[in-house]
Order: sequence, then C-alpha cells, then structure tokens
Amino acid sequence: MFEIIKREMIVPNLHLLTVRAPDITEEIQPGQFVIVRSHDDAERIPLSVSDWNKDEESLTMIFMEVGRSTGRLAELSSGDRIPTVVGPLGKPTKIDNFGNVVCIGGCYGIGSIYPVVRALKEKGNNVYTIVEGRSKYLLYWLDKLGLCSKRIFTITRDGSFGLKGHINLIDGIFNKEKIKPDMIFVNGCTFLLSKTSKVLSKLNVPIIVNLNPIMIDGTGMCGVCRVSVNGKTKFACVDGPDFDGRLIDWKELFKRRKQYMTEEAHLVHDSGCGRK
Amino acid sequence: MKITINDREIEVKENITILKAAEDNDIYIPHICAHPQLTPYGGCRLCIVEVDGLRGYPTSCTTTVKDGMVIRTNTTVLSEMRQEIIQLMLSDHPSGCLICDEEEECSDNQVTIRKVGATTGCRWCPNDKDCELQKIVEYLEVNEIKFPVYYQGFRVEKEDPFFDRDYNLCIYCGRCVRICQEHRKSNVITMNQRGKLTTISPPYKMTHIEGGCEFCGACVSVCPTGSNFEKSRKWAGKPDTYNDSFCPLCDLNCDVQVLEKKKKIIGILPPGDPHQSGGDLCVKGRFCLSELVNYPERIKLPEFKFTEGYGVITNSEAIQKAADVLKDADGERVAFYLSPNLSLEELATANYFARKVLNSGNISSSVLDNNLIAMISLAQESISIEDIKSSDCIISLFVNGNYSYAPVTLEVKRAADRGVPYYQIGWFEDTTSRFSEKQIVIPPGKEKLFFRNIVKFLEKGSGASADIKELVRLIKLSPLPTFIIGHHFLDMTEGVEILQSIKRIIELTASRFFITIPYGNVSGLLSIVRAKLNSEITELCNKGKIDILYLVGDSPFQDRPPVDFIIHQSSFRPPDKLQADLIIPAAVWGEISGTYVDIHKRRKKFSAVVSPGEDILTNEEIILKISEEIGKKIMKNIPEVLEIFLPNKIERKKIKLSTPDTSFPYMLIEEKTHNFYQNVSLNTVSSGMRMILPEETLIMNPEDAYKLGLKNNESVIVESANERKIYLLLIRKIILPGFLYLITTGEGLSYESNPCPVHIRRENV
Repeated sequence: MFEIIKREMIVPNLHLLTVRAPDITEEIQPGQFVIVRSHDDAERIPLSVSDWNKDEESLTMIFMEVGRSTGRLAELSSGDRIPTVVGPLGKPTKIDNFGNVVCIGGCYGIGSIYPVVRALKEKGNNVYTIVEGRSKYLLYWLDKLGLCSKRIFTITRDGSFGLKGHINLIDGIFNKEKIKPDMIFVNGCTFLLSKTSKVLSKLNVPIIVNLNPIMIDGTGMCGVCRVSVNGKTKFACVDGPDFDGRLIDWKELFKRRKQYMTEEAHLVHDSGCGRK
Repeated sequence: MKITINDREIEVKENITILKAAEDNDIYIPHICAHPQLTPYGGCRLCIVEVDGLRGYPTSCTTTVKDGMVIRTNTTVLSEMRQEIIQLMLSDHPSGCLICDEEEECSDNQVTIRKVGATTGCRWCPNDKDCELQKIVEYLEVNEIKFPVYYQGFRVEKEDPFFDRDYNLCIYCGRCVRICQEHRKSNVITMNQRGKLTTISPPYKMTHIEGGCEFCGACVSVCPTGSNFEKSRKWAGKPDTYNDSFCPLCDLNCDVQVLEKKKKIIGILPPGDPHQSGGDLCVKGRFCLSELVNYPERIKLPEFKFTEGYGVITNSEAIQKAADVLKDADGERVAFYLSPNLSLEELATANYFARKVLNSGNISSSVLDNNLIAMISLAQESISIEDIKSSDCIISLFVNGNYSYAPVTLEVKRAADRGVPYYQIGWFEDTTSRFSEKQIVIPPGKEKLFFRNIVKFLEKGSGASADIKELVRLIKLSPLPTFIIGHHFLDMTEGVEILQSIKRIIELTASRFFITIPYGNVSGLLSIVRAKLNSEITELCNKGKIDILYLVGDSPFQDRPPVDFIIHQSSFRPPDKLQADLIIPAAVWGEISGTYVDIHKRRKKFSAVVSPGEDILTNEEIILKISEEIGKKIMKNIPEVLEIFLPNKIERKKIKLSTPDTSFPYMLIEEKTHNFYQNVSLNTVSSGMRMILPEETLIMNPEDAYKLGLKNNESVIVESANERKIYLLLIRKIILPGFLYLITTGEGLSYESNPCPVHIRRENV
C-alpha cells in the first residue's frame, strides 16, 4: 500500500496527489508516468508525474477529475493508502543541450511539463515556458516554472491573465520576442497537443508531445494505447509516451479516445451518489 | 388601458407588470430572476426600463403598468447598463463558453473530458447550449469581461441523490428557492450565508433528504444556469426533441414531456417551457422514469433455460419455443399474469390470446387482492384532483405523500395555505404535515375501532373520543369536506373493513373523497380482462393444477411454483429463484404507443418516443407472432365503453390484530413496494430512489432511535410474537415516533399482521 502524503484540489478539477513511493523516486526521469489505482476494486489510471523528491521519497502527480475513477481518487486525503502505484513506466524524455527550447503546458500538463523544464534548465538550455488555460484561476505552479525558465508566458481564453486567446497566438509570441526554438515540448490535453503540432509544424523543429491515450496495463501487453506514428503502429506505454507530434495520426487518436464513451458516461450518469 | 412601449401604443390588461405587457406584445426585455410561476423579485436588474415620470431605471418585472405610461426598453443607456450588469455576473461565473472562439474545433476532444467534477467552461457545463445566460449574452453582444475574474471555489455538492449543485455557476437569481417555497410549498432550500459566501441549500448544513426534500426537481428545472443539474443527464447536452407523454407509474398518469437526444430518452420534464415550468411532478416521474427506460441491465435478447443453464436465443427461436409449448396445452392448465402497467392494446391482445387462442380463463395480476378490489370499487366515486381545490376542509387518511402523488399533496398544501383546515390521520410525517391543523395518531392497533367509532358516533351520537368529536364537528361544519385516502389500505390487514367504515362515513357526512392508487393502468386491466384474484391462481399453481405460467411484465412469484414451464415476457429480469424457462424481452413505456385508462374511465394516449432497439419486440408483436405460429389469428377488441369488472372477493381467515405492550412496544407498518413498473422495482433501476426510500430497510423516527441509542446503518433485530428478522436501520422523520416503517419486496407480509407490534434491538447485543 502507498501512503498519500497530500491530496488537494489546486485549481477547479485539477488535483495534486503526493504519495510515498521510494522505489519509484529512485528511478524516475522526466516524461515518464505511473499507473495508479485508488481502491482494490478500482481501475488502473495512467498518470503523468509532475514532481518528485528523493529525500522525502515523495512522488507528485497532477490529475484531472474526469469520471468515476479519477472521482474516487479525488475523494481521498492525506493518510489514506492506495493499493497501486506502478512505475516508472514509458521511455524518459530525451534531455540534452538543445539551445532554445519552448515548453508548453496546459491543464494537468502545466504540472507534468515541470520536470522537463527543470531538467532542460539543468542542461543549460534557454527554456521559454508557455502556460495556457481558460482563465486565470485555472493556472498554477507559475512560480515553480518561472524559476526554471528564461521567460514564462501565459495565455488565457478570457484574457484574465497574460494574453487573451489560445495556443495559436504562439507564433505571435515567437515573432515578437524573437525566439527561434530548436526543440518544442508539449504536455496537456490531446487537443492542445494536436493543435500545437499543427500550428508549429512549419517551423521544422521536433515537437515532442507527451501522449495520454486510453491505457490499461502500461507495459505493452494490452495494446489499447496504440497510436499511428508516421504510418506505423506504436504503443504509447512502451514506445512513448513521447512522440513527434508532426507524425501522429491525430484523427485516429481522437476516435480511439472516444471508444468507451457510453460505458464511461453510464458510471457517472447515476442518480445516486456512485457508492453502492 | 393603453401604454406606449418604444413608441408603439399598445392595449394592455390592468394590474400586470411592464415585463408581462411587453412579453404579451412580443417585445423582448432581457431578464433572469423573473418567472411566470413566481412573484416579482427584482433581483437580477437586467429588466430595467425607462419610464417617463419615474425616477431612475425601474425594473420592469416589479413595476405595474399605469394608463398612459410611456416606456422605453432598448435605449443605448439601458443597453450599456445591462452589459455592465451581465459582466458583473460573469466575473464570478465560469464563462469559457461565452467568449471562446476555438469551440467548434475543440469539440472532438471535449466529449471524453466533459464528465468533470466542477464546471469551468463550455461543453463541460451541463447546461451548455441550453443556457439563459448564453442567450442574454448573445442578445447584449457581450464578448469580453472587463472586471477581474473570480472563481468562487465552492465544493461541488454531490452527496444528495438525483441532482448535483455547483454553486460556482450560481448567479443568485433565487428562482430555485422561490419555486420551492411559492410553487411547491416545500420550503426546503434557502439562501445560506451572505455576500460572496452565499450558497443555496437546506439550512443548518442539512442534506436535502434530511431537509424534507421531495426531489420534485422544480429547482433544477427553473435554474437558468448549470448550477443545479440532474445527475442522470449531466453532460447529455441539449435535447433534440421534446415529446408529450404521460407518466405510467401511478393512476394519476401526470402529463410529462420526454426529452430525446440521438434516439435515446435522456430525461423527463413537466409540461411547459423546459426552463420555466416548476411542474407538479413527483420524484418518480421527474427522475426515475428515464432511468427505468435506460436501465443498463435490461434484457436485450431472449434467453432459454437449457439443461446446462441459460443461453441466448433469437426472437424467432423464442417465439417458436413458446408456440411449441402452448400449441397443445390444455387451456385450463395455462395461467396468465398481466402487469397493471400494460397498455389497453397490450392487455386486449394478451386477453384475446389467453381466452380465444388458448381457451384459458386463468388471468390475473399480482396486485389483484381483496384490498385492491375494495379500493377500486370505492374509487369509482372518487373526485378529480381539480375538485380538491374547492374543498373547505381536507382530511387525509394514511397518505404518505413524501415521494408520490405530488399533484394531490400540492393541492392539499395550496388549499391549507389559503386557510382551508387540514387534518392528517395516520402515522406518516410527510410534506403536507407542516400544513396540518392537527395530526391525529390513532392508538396503535385500534385503527378499525377508530373508524367504527366515527360511524357509531355519526349514527347514534355516542361513544366517541375527543379527537373523533372534533373531527366530526369539523366535517359537519364544512359544506364541502374532502377525504384524501392513501394507498396504505392496500397493505393493512384490516384494510377492507376500514374502507367499509370510511365508505359509511362518507355516505353519512355527504363528503367527497380522492383515492390514490399506485398502479398506472389498473383500471384498464380490470376493464379489458375479466381477471381472477391473484390468490386464486397462486393456489391453482401450488396445487399442481397449472402446467404453464405466462407472465407478461408481472412477477407474482419469488420462488418457482410447481409448474412445468414459465414464460417471462419483460425487459426486466425475473427473480433468480423463479427459474423462468423462457425469457423474452419486450419494449417498455417510451418505446411503444398505447392507451391508459384512469379510474374515471378517461382514456389517455401516449406515443413512442424512441424505438426499442432492433432486437426488442413489443408485447403485442410477441403475442401476435406466437399466435401466428400456433396457427390462430388475434382479433384484439377494445370496447368503446369501458366497464370495470371486479373479481369476486375471497373470504380469508381473519387475523386478530394486537396492540403494542411492554414486550412489543413498537408498531411495525409494512408496505409492499408500490414503486414499480411491470416487474421491476424503482429501487432496482434508480440508485437515487434507493437512497430516499430503500426497500427491506427499517425506517425509524430519530426520537425513538435516540431513546434506544441506535444509529443509522446498524443491524437491528425486529421481533414480533411469531417472527424474527434482521434489517438495516435508517433514521428518518417520515414515520412518527412509536412506529416503524418497512417497505418489502416479498410476495406477502413479512410479519403476521400489518400493523404488527414488535420489539427492536441491536444485533449482537
């Protein structure tokens, strides 16, 4: 069993979960993920890792409450124990001295891009971080990210903090600030990943996206997380989760993400309180 | 009276508001807090207008028209002020849906991530595309918010059944609080706290169940935003169509509108404008009905019990098997059970099939017993709901109106609110109790005697208690006294005898009465089918005189009776122990068209809203096909004039009722669940219903629980003179102190009599 050190809703719907997992914190690298189960009868949920501390043996994830399983996870609090935290899973993000690097985070990705930003900074890169959200109250960790970045930009849909609009403003930022990226990293919802890949493909630099498809075992057995990259089938859990966003078949991925809609909705479309 | 709005002279009625006058003449004034079923409030300030001679900008919803008034509703100043007002509202209301231009593109992604806990924008909002704020923002052409944006950060409240509340979306129009108070007369919710801490809920941190909520859903219907939203259609989106129908769950057959989206029923609303109608529905019609149709464990394909267990077969195989069994059967040895939820057409087809094709006269329904017959024979003289309005004194007898018969309890509450004296007799504390002048609790076990004494007092003028004297005096003083008779007489051991006394009281006092009957089309069943009593057929079964049992949406047995073959024709699974040989799923309400009849023989038609799915046939189709296979034609015949045919009563052994004493101090009230559709209990299909009125759970008043030191969810032993059973305990105010309330699902009574004196103690102590 893994002890929960902290569980809190940091912004609406996004929860921070810190667990004691010494074995994982010894091994984990940026871009890797873990699989978590909230209860003995709960399903496995893959979660990106947002931070860790070897000395405190703590592993921090930021997840969004989007259905039954994440809802149950969001009901836990510090001191509770959860049966499963498996990891690190997936291949680590390749970190090197690239020169100018742009890191983009949205939603839970604002948290999960942080280890990448930190590692890139340690390698001596100029890191430009772009954080986007619907409104000011959905942004978090700006101080943490700011410490590791050369510049940090915020984009909000309602203009309540930083630029008003969404990720396609990014071109304007590059032009205005004269940034010539050598490498781009994106974390966040599938829409953000696909949209950024589309908008920035003309720059001809790698756009590394950290995918989040439906996944069960996370070790390459079930094949639910398959994704077509450059026409070839890859498994996000063992071949990824990092891929070049310019090569991904996004249309197929969006379709695959919807395949259990009815079942997912049925669990939350329950007039009681979900506890039987 | 003449007034001028925007340079247009119009003729209006007196004593109406400017807003109403404008609306009647198709002049739009934006408004949120104003509502046709509610008194003017003047809260949102969006409906401000300019009136010559009046200082400032009066709200049109609170200002009445005066002759010659000159009003302007759409000047630049007003429009600017309204824009500012709406921006203030939006500054603490998540507004992603109003100002994002990425919406179309992003929609492909959103479907998977919209089942979020708290709403922060567009498709994540349950009210998206169906929201009054969105419409007003569009009208006022607001596309930015110049004030600082603030998220209130309230926890989304999900612990009550049927609807969630996200007060981060609330704009404090107060419509929910006012509809609960003014229209439903429930006074459950109120505004708690002040300023930015304001939330809407029952006071003192009570849950809605504790606060006495009926879960009628009026507050959810009238909410202009997504902050009150029903759980079972959250994120379903705006309905494609709204279809008129009525609810099949009790004899009132209330009108409803059925919301359809992508060929699925997603919800039920009361008739009228979907956002404006508070409605008179009860929880069953408002919330449980859509869950019933969409119950995920409904049987989709026929099943046959092979020697090695159940196997799925096709419809044609199922029909073939049924025909093979029935073809050479002796009609005398076949018995039919029909549900009181079947339509007239289904009943007529089944009746013809039983009588003419198979020559069987053994037709019954699990609800048909002496008590129901007594109730139905009385009910034919019952008044209609509208007539309750004209009563000048109302007496309710054993009505439990907490979660059913809302139109009736509403009339009672509204009448009592107007000052009509209302007396409540019985052991339930329900939504009407607050309005009663007096609650008369009959000495436990003396119910029959109480009503006999009233008769005696009326006939001979003697032998009455103070309560009876007061009651009779009240009735005699009123020109139009009305009795409301609850369905509890169906379950009481002495129900038939008490109903006889009540009938006599009504005759002697020339009173009127209304009877609540919990079965949708029981009058239809009794007018189409010359049915026998349930006990008559069960006896035949148990004596081995029946070979084949054909159940159409009905489930009279929990265990398998000694018969050779059981056909269970319903979408809902039969009891496991019944071991039905052939299970054929059939379409249900919402998927078929048909007619129901109420107790006054008024016919009501409903139409199919969705199709039952490709493999599910209707009850009529199944029977027609079986009959065809046998080689006979069905000529279903529904008579023009319907006559209710009541089966003969069967004399039963009299059970003597005891009164509580020191060894058995509590009175247990049993009720065989009446909350069902065909053979499925609403507790099975709706987890919300399980929370508000669980079956096989002992319900006790908090006062008694405190005295005995018992807590919620404890196991308790309930012991009578002859029986001993263990139940989970639920502490609720719906039953009065001294009584225990138990809703059962079995075939008969769990204890020797109803009511029954019992002793209660914690298990393992």
